[in-house]
Amino acid sequence: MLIKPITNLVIAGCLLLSCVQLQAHHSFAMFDLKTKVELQGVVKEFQWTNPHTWIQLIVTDSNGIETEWSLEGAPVNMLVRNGWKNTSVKPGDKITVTGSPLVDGRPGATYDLIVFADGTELRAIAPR
Amino acid sequence: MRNKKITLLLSTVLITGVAMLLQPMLAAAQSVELPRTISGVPDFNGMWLRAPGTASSFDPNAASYDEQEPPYTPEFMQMYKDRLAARARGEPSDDPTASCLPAGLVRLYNLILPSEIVQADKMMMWGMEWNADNIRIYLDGRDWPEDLYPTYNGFSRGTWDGDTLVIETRALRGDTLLDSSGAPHTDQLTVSSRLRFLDRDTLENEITLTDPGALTQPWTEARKYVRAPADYRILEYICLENNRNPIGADGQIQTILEGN
Repeated sequence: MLIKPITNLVIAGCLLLSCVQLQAHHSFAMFDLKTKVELQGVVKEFQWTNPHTWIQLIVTDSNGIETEWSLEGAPVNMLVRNGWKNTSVKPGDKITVTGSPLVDGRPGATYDLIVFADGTELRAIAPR
Repeated sequence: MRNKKITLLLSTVLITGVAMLLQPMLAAAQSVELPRTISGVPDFNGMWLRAPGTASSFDPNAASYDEQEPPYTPEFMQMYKDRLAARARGEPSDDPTASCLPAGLVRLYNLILPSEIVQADKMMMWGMEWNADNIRIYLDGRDWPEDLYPTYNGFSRGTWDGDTLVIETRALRGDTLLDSSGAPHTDQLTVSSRLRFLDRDTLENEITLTDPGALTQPWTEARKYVRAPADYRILEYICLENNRNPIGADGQIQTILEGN
């Protein structure tokens, strides 16, 4: 169960690594970091990769139309040091993701907070 | 009178004896104060993390990129300000690392990701987590190679100044950045680093940049690294593994979506 400890670890990690400039790779200005969206869907793929991890999420709207969202998150090394595993998110998982949407309106966003069907929470380091 | 003399003699013997006993103890205490190699020089071997609260800008104590004060020529100051503005708009088009190209020596020193030093008598290897890059520092007294040409990490020689390792680097490319803020430089850049222990678990790297092409005077800033916990390890970070944010043909950073 990865509930509260993760949150605390993330805060500790931020203090340790200086959350001012977490990214070594690129800016996250393509995302509207002031806005948060909540997406409910089923995980198609968890790309446990560098320089960033990605969750491919299938979101079905009220008319039954499916949209695949690309959700970008922290690199593997930062997630590992905050208690994540490559199996923390699995294909088929039903999750609710909170993140910041792409400025250009396409189906892409960051993933900051993941809530699983059983209520378990997994928090990522919010990319900047 | 005689008793006084004896007392004085005994005191002198006692003091001398204590001093003789203490001297090696003090010397031993000094030698264990800093980790040393079998050759007696400071032993920097280990895993090092940037000190908490420091930034990835060349001035690690700048609260934001805008707050560091590079002694740029007017031309380079304008270039730098334009880049800061472009980054604020999300357009880091001049950042080679967005395309996963190497960061370059100075920016490697400035990244906040972990690093690991492997030190031998004749060479030190400073391995970086970011993109599995590393800096080789030759300690064997060799001359500068005659066939040097600009490269991402240049060529580095290290010499000992007491307990400080002085690392001189030449032959650096001009198209890398000094830090994540986009601070530019030219291929006239030479770097002098002074690496030393502040205590057995803290390193200081005081870096002086000399670049007659971009700076009106040398720019010196010191950054600290703290020893990582014993079980800490470098994790693989290969930027080209899955870079879905490359620089596009328009020079802007892209976001590659999948599906649909």
